Amino acid sequence: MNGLEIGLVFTFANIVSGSIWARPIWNTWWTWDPRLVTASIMELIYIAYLLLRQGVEDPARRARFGAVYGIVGFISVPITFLSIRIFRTIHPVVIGSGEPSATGSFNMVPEMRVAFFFSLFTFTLIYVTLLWHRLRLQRLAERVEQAKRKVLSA
Amino acid sequence: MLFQEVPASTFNYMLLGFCAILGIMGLFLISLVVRFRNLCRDLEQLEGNDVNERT
Repeated sequence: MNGLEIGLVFTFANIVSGSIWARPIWNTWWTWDPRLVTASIMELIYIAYLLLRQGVEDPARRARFGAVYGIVGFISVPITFLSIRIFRTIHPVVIGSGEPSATGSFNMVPEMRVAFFFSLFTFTLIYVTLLWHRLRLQRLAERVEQAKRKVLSA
Repeated sequence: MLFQEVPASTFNYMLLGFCAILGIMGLFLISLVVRFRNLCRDLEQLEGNDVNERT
């Protein structure tokens, strides 16, 4: 749940920054490319997951519905990752090799690799920091919930 | 313009991208801080109620 919220933020940042990248490279802010569409659908599926969890009051039902939806919703993750390898697309395949005839297929040069791994390390660090703060918030929310129950039962 | 002699300047787009990423992260961080403060206030109130009921 905590990681999901941060994942949503990261995915949204990814879609927005990808759109900014696409403007000078593809000469458009948005195109109906399989990667862009699957990533957006994935984002919407997980927004719906958050809404679903907030909409169910009973904790046991919320956990059960959340678990089922989480398993079904996770299907969108590998589909998004593989979309540029399965479908005909102009999106570059950065990690691993893509379809050789695909327009966006390329191998990273050493300078790009340095920038990629530096970025990966930095964003992992940001993720861990945000997760720690989100967990603190979760713990506080649980304390408030306990205090509410105590007041109501008194 | 058919054959570009120099690579296109994408520096401004890079800056815009960084601003977007930092802006989105910043908004999330602000939401965390606001939610944390609200919860702290709720907890104080609830614990205050609890103490009042006991006395």
